[in-house]
Amino acid sequence: MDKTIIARSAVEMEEIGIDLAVNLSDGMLISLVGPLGSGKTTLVKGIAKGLLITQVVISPSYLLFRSYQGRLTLHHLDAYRVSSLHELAEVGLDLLLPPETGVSAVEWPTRVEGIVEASDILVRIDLLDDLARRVSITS
Amino acid sequence: MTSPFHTLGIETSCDETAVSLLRGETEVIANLVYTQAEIHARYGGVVPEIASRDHLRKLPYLVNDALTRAEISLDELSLIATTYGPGLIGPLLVGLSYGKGLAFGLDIPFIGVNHLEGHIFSHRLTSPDLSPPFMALIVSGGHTLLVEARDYGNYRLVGTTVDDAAGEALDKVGKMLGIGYPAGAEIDRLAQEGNPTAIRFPRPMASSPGFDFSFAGLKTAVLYYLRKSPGERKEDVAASFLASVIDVLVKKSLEATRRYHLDRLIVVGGVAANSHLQKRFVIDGQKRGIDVLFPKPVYCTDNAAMIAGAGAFRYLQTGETHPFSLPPAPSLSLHQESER
Repeated sequence: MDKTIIARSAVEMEEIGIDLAVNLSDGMLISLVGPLGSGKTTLVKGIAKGLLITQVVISPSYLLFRSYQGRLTLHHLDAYRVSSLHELAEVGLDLLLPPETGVSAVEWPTRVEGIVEASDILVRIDLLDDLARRVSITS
Repeated sequence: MTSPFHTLGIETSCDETAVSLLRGETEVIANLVYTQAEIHARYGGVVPEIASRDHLRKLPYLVNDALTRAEISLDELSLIATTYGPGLIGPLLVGLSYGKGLAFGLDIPFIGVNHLEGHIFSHRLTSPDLSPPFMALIVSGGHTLLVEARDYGNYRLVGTTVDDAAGEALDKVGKMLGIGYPAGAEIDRLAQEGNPTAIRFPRPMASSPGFDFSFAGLKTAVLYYLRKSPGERKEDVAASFLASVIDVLVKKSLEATRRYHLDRLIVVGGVAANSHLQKRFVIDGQKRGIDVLFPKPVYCTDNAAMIAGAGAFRYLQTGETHPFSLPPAPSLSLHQESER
């Protein structure tokens, strides 16, 4: 199923994430594609809200990954500083692609071969003008 | 005369593999961070490729090298201190298992150290006589935290980033400007030649109550600025962006120091090595009667000397050790350290 939504603010971007969270179930893998500053982490904040997670979701870029407990466990991964599946396997994160329990949301999935292809949901964010983003969801 | 107390520190929580040897609580006698270049040079470029976070293959080299440089032998070690969190589970396990194994084999005590508490101890390697209470700003690629240190081991979280860490924002804006990773040092250099008032970027959260930080919006502001004005001098963008990051860090940190009735602030972590940031902190601190202190740059970025320092302090002051069953704690917070 394909869907395209225009988000005009960070709040609207979060709302897309909240909506997305409703249909998530254990073992799902979500790929988030979009340039720096396009709102990928903001969308994941929305997914976290939708999964009834109360912790603050912060960027996983440095640590590569953070987990949060809610209706489902949310594994938030960031392949920004990674260039191969081997590198992810080295630190044990290949086991989350997809995870056995919980859902994984991966930023910069195209940096590692095979993640986008293995995803249940692909979210693509394009920058339009100052405030608007086009969010295309394929599931 | 009794033989000196030697602590071996091991840090493998994320990217860096680091080993350090400490004599007493604060005298660093070896401090090594693995770099691919160093090993390649030593083996004439013929070592097989060692992957970036392959800590297991790097650790034995570094421990041997540290012992050789400090001119001590394994049986002169008194304590092993290893980071047990926060960080990535795989790398943490490697460092912990190695440290525990060595401590078991040598029959010496072992202690796990919180990486964040290690950063707080980094200043002590530079100023051994300084002790809490003080406010601490831990600011790096992975963390932006304000912590009230009432005593060592007694911390209260005052503020944190709600999205990107400050160092991460620097790296990502660096990427937009075409600078390689990590970008901190190069942004510092570019900013030297730029005008910090050329562009007025937002000061996120600067006037909101509380002491939390946010840098994601600032990153986006730079992105849009560059899209609209692709011809802008890189130096001016770097200087203006850095000015915005520094403004927020300095304002919030000094306010928090005052609010908690303290007169000293230590700034630690990789971003603390930034020269513009240090200058502003010292000048604005003076105006408000607050002493602002920084570790030497080599102890700002991730290192094992700070881990050895925190471990040696806890062991020598309180006799604290950990059993070999201590598991890695990827989401460890400083708050948990206070409850120990």
